[in-house]
Amino acid sequence: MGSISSDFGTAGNWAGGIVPTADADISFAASPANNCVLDQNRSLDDITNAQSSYKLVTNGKQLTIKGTLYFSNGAQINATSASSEVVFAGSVAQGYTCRCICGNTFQSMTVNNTNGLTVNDDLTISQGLSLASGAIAIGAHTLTINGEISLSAGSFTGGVSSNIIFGGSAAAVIPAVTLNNLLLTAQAAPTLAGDVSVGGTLTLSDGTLTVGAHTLTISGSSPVRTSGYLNAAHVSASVVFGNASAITLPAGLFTGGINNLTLSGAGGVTAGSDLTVNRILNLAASNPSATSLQPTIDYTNYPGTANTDYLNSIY
Amino acid sequence: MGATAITTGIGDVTGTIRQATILENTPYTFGHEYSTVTLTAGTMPDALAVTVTIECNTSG
Repeated sequence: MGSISSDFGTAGNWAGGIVPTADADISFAASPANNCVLDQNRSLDDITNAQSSYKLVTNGKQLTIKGTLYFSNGAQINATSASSEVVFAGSVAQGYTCRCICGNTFQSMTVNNTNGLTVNDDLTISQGLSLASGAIAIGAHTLTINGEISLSAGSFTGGVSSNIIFGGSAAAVIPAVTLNNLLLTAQAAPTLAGDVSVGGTLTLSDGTLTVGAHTLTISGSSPVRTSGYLNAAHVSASVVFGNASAITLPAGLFTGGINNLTLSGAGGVTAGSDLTVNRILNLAASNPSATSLQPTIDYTNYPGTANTDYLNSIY
Repeated sequence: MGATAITTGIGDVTGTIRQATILENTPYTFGHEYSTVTLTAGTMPDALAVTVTIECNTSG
């Protein structure tokens, strides 16, 4: 009700005059008098709010949600203040069915629900994202992460319409996921913690995306690079181009050599600058432009004779 | 190509493929798994480059 103030911890603000206990359900009155502002870290089960005038405000505290958000008529949680954290820790799948996140932004978010969390709108995490357990289902939305990602047993569930943007300079790991677009801005330096597939566009505005001991598959359009890099030099790294249409790699895309490079798409790849393959160049698809190939050999400072076992020509 | 890099698969590279580490009696692939060059004797070169270009098919 908020009859006295906005303080969660003031008994007189609640019907019955009792501050809700840990993991209680709470409901906003139909016409409350104030926001409901956390006074300390609180853990709640179901939260119901059917009006937009007054919000649940985290106020730099941790709000743990173990139940369902029954929000309607524009009701929202405001978790944008510094140090605020929202923890989804339900025992069944969680999500929200309305645009109930103020500014579509959490300062920090933890998902600790083995049954996962489904976001139904674009979402920005300003500081930290903790993937403790369960999957965040991104759906046809954009997840923007401007801080650190800590990965325990959590994951992402992406799809052909899912997008992730990395900003900021904090360390981040990317669990295995299929995406439409992946964008690095600022000084972002995420490292893959699983195989990642980008079916749309990989954009490296800045920072470095490190493949590590995993596989990055690019099967959409030409990567876009402003000043970012792709690091695939790890001895177990693989980069796969599975594009159906022709693409051109921007100059300077890779920092260092590429461990394994596979071209499996029918579209072919044109290098925008020199590439170094350290281990296996797997040309799994035919050269789309080759009707006949003629090699010429140039060797430097060699007094002997080259023995060409077989120089392949394609007709 | 790296010192121990190999080429596999059915496709081809067009352009210049450069191998900067050359050991004698070692086949190196240049843009196709069956396009190999082996240098058998003498002082090995500093580098070996094969340029593959597309040519019109005049056969048949």
